[in-house]
Amino acid sequence: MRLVLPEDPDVRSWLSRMHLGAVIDAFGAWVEGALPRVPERGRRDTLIELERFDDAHGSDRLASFVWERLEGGADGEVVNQLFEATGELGLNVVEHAGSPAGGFVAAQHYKAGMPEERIIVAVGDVGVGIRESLRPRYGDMTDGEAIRRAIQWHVSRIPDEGRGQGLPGVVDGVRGLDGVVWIRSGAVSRKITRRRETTSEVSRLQGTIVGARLPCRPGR
Amino acid sequence: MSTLIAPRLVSSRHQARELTAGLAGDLSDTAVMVDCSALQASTPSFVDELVKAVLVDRRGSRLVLKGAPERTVELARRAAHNRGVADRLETG
Repeated sequence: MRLVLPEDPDVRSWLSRMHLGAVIDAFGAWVEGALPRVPERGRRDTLIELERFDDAHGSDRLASFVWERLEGGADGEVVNQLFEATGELGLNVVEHAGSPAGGFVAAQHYKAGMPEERIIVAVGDVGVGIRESLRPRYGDMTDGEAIRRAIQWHVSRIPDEGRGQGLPGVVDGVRGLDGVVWIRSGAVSRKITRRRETTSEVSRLQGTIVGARLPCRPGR
Repeated sequence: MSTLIAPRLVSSRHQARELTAGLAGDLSDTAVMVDCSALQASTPSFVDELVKAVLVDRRGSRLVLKGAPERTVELARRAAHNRGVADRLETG
């Protein structure tokens, strides 16, 4: 595996600070060019660097980790929603993604103490993608249709009446707190806010990435 | 009545299966009480799996959630409704 780094030096520095190098090392990847050395000051209150998980225990641990690190840094309902989102999205990776490398989580807290203070959490995998995950039960469809289906209640790869709550629950909860959800899978990215949903074509991605951005103090 | 103690944070279906693993296979004459006094947050999937494990798979006579956070109660009601077992769920 070969990793081609982005040209923008700020993005390279950010990837380095998020400890991408340590995660990539585990896969024996060859990095074209070098990640810059970034001096690290304590940012425990604002940053959860890239973390990998490969089973339900790992997903549980990371959801709890997100809770512990964010508790007190935002309204209780926001921290709760981020815990639910991390737990549900992590579980989706473990149960549905078929990702040989497991899943990855990262989070960042921006503009602490300012009116636009917000938290972003993202969960990703390198699995089969949403379309392929749903195909055996729902048939062929485009990537865009697959994402639209996946955010509907009770749509799941597994035929069980209690399934299909994870992703729609995340979308519903984040929207309700005036946040934003991004879902990227295959060659499509969908952005969902309280008022609108937009789909755009993007370069093809192996797997799925779901991100959620929430204001720390919604309604204030 | 069988009693289970929920930990502080619960997220995966796997955790719900672990929590209920020691219960008998047939609970048709048994109520299960889950002490949620330490519980701070739960996911929809954990709560759904708990409802399924006790009220559907083992046919529990009742599932009682004691001291659960409001959000967990909401999730449990939704899960029990989805699975057609709302009449055997107690929250309080």
